[in-house]
Amino acid sequence: MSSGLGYEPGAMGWVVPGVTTIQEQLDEERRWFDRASADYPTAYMARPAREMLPAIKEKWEAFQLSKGRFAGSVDLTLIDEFVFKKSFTFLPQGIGSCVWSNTFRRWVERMCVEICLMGDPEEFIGTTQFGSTSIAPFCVSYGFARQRANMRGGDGLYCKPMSESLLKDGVVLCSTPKLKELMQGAGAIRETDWPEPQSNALYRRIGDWAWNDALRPYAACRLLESVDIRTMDACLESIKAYKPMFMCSGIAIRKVGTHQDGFDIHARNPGDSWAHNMGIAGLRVASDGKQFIRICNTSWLQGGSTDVEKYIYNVPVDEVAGWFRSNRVDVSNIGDIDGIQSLPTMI
Amino acid sequence: MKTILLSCLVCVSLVSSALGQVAAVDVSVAKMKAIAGINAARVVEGAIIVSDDSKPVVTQVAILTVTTKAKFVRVKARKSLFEFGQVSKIGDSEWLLSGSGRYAVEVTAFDPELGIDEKVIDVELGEDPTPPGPGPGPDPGPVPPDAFDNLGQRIAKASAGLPKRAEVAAVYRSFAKQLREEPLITVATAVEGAAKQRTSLLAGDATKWNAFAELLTEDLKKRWPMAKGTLADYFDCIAVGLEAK
Repeated sequence: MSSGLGYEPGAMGWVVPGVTTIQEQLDEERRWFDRASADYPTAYMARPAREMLPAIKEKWEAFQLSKGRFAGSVDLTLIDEFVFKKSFTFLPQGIGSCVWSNTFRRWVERMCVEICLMGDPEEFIGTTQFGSTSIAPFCVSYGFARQRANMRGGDGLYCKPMSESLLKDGVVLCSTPKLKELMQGAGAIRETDWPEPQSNALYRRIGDWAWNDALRPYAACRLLESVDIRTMDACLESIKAYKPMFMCSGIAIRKVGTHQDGFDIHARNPGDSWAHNMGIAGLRVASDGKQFIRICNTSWLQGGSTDVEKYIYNVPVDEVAGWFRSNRVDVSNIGDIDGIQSLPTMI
Repeated sequence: MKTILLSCLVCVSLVSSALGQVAAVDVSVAKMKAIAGINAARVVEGAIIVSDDSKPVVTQVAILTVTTKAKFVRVKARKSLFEFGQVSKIGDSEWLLSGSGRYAVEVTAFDPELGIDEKVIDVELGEDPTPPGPGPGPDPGPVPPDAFDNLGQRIAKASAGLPKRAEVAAVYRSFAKQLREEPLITVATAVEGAAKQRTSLLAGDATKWNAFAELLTEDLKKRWPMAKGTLADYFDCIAVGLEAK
């Protein structure tokens, strides 16, 4: 069945060693979660949702409306434009690094939520798209998580080790001097090599733990909350608390129509399967009140395109509810981050 | 010149001695506290009761008691070769020295029959609580109790009489608004931004605001970290204190 998306699938990377079917992969995700949550229960518990600053909330809702997101929308794919007046369009994944490549985008969204919408006394880890001042954490987290999963050689990762790494390792900022030293040594000196090196060979070396020992001492900003999301209600609750999610599944997407508001509507493509990670970046409410989950696949942005909307799918809530009921997905959220504390240098 | 004067003194002294009379002078110093700015003072049960509109200012003074048989006495207090202190005769043999600083108090006693004598003593008086020269500006009007341990009141007191209070208040109001309304600003950039604008605005007057800056630094450190909304409220309290008339 044609996807109607207008492009071929990109690199995928939801891989669980030693198993071959989607169901087995989902089962292993569940087993990992059971072990990890027994080991570190508080990290997997939902923390209370927090209020937004009132004036900011008003501005945010007006901004969403200006973009055709009606009352009740929580579309975190817009937060970069709301805060920085521009979209951060990161480069597509070149290897099977989707579990990191689509997840770090959610991490950035959550950091912006905490600082800009909730008013936390924290600082951005960076403010640019690329370079050592990138707003995104560096991709060594792919190596950290693969080491936890004991994965070396080949591409890929699965979701629950990624969740555990974010909770226990934290992330490495692109501004870390040691990272710069390693990148220079590896010849990765272009601005676009941060937050993900454009050399597939280098990215694979990083994925095979080459920089783990050198960079782990510099990891910071641990995630404090990564709830396992198993129902549509829990998914909506996470969205309304402004906690984006990352999803591993065999679900492929196709376009199924166009809404009267002008955006594409998507659903699962039963004729295809993507062993892939995508993000759940929020909820879009249309002018007629219909609700769509924003499934974000911008790690496939191809051919130098900046048309990110082609890679963000508007899937009706009922459709996504069916995915949860059928146990087709493994989803974890990105909740509170222990960010960089604000410390003014003069008072 | 000094040598000649000494010779004269010796001669006079010898003459005096010859006459059996001595113009010897002795000086005792009693450091006291003077309370100015009070009205309708009375002492009741060991306390000085004053009218409610009094604005007491306490300074250190010295009462100099001169003991001599000489008919004429002159008391001068010198801070430097050309700078003299304030000395007032307050009794037959008492003089009041006021004004902070270190003085060489020169007491000269002269009598046509007894001769002349002089004593120089070292007297040091503590810092005046109010700076010399023009007095402080009008007291700021009442600031209502507010959050952060009555920050507005403390700011009003710390900034009393300082130049450009209204302009500095506007800086804090502006950053309070940004913290509430602008998603991009962070708490660190707001605090730093306000400090830089304040310093730039004050230019040569910045050092006069040192006490204000110290109060703010110590107070913020105790309360850090502060979320954006809370910091906005904090900045508004600062502005209230600075805006008090």
